[in-house]
Amino acid sequence: MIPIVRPTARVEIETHVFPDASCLLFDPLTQDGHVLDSFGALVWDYCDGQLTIEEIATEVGALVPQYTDAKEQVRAIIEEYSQRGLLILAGTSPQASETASDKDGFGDR
Amino acid sequence: MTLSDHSKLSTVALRADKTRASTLDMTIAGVRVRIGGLDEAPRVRVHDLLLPFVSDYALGTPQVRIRVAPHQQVRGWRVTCSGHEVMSTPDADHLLTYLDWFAVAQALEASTRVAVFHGAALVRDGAAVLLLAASGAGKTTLTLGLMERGWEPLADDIVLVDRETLAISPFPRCFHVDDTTQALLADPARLEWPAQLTGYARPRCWAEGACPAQTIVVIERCTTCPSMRWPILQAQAAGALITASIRNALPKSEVVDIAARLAANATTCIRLRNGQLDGALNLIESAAAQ
Repeated sequence: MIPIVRPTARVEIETHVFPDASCLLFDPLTQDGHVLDSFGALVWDYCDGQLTIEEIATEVGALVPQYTDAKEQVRAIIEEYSQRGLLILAGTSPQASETASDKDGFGDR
Repeated sequence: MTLSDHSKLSTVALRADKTRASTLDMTIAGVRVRIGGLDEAPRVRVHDLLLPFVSDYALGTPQVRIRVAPHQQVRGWRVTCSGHEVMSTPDADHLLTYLDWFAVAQALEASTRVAVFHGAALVRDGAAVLLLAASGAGKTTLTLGLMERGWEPLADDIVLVDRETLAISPFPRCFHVDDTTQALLADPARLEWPAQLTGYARPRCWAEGACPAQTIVVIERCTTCPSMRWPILQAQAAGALITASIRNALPKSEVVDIAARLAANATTCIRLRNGQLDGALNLIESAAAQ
């Protein structure tokens, strides 16, 4: 795993936020879409290059104290976004990764 | 004007009349389509089959030109488009079904006013429900079942969504109705069977005007399960719309945006396991009533 210091969303990713707090990400380079539930959308919102993974986990954890494993979930989600090529990796240019996507191009989170 | 000029005009007019007699002009999704070269018998049937789209733009230029010509080798017909042969067949029914599909496909590919989705849509009391499903999941059967409960059809198989208003326009194309589905119909008179073409039926009444979808139903078929429904995220509904989208002249990003806006505006988004028909219809109606 390539270490991600401050998770940063790739600028090409189109983000569509819905009234029910879910979110659809569309990658125009790969033509893939990614469905995020409200928790995933919240974490995505933090992926702006400002905070470290631990800082994001702490902040999100504080927002949702009812989820006792929120910090672990945040780390896992950010790793998943990285695997899906949605984040700029540390030390690389902002290109889509070659991570395989779901069969129909839509992976749910 | 001299006698010679009159004679030339008459010749041109006669040729034009003969040409027009073998020509069928249509407007499909705002795109002008012309099928030329049809003999009388197939022309009558194609006209019947695509009647809701037939229009007269004698002075206009078609955007899609399809030509039918005799094919000696197969003892039937050859179909060309933009000078390229696309199919040939000795079978008149095959020619009809192909022209029905090809004319629509070419028009939709050229359209820029609408996004196109594989699905069905119906309206009742001003509220539209959009059914998304892969082929064979039971979309047409559900559509016919809802029609028998007072819903008016907007479209079956191909749904056109206006890129600006998100309204779903009526698209009165024939349904593909197999024997099993036909046997379920309580009121066969609700459908007409144009062109004496087996399996092609068209509702006699369609919804008038267009309206946006308030309920989105993503359908999966299960012949061994009871019908069930469960809520899905609007993002999941948007994802299903994008998966169901049919490529046309609109860029993919714009189709994604349209799908997202459609899902965002829907008040109810569900996934439906389509098992027993009445159960599935009840579940769709209860979702639409929310």
